[in-house]
Amino acid sequence: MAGFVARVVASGTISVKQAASDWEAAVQLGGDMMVKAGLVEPSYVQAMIENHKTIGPYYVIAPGIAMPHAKPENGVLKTGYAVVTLANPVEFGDEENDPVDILIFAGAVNREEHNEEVVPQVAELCDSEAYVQRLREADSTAAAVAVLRDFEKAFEAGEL
Amino acid sequence: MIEEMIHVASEEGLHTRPANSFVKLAKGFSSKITISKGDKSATGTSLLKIMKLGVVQGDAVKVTCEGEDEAQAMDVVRAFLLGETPSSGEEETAS
Repeated sequence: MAGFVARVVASGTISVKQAASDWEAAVQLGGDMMVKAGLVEPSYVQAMIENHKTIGPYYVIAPGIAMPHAKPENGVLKTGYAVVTLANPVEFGDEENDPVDILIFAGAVNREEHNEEVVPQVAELCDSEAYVQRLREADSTAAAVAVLRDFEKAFEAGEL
Repeated sequence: MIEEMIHVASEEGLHTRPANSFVKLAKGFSSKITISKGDKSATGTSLLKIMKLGVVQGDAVKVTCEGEDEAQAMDVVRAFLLGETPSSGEEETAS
């Protein structure tokens, strides 16, 4: 589990209670953070947005939670993540799970890391309702980091 | 109940989008479909549980189907995991 929490804290790509007018603005917001942190090229952000436009909101994986991502070859520089929570939820076009107010961005340098590290770890967090709720309520980056660290501890202790 | 070990041949494994397709497919049967990898198992209709399995190409997974349409369900699940069911828009898609 070292991967997800350690990486997102190290890259400083956590932002809470952000304002976004629609899904695209929300994805752009987290994507920009990843670019600034040196995790991805701007082309990766474009690819995430294009995926939504061509394939649809398949990456909305749980009630209120989206996991924007694209392929390693779309411009990933370093495997990493970003977490964005929104002040006001927005529609992503997924009937079952709209509206979305938590976005967990992921970018992996290769398919193996994506499938074996990124996907299971993000799913683990999303499946832990108590931590998701605390993350949703976090009103500062520090508070969000504290939630993620607690989640990591619980995970490693086998409490989830 | 029927049970089968299947070696995942689908190049995509079962990450986000294929897992999503799998869930839609599983919801089309009345049988309870379960997929297991190692000591972890997931209900076929739970996207997050399936994502947590981290199924990749080459993995051996155990599939169980239980219910009236279990034989048909197994056929469809097997074809999907063997990569014989092309999901829509296979090219130019997210990983």
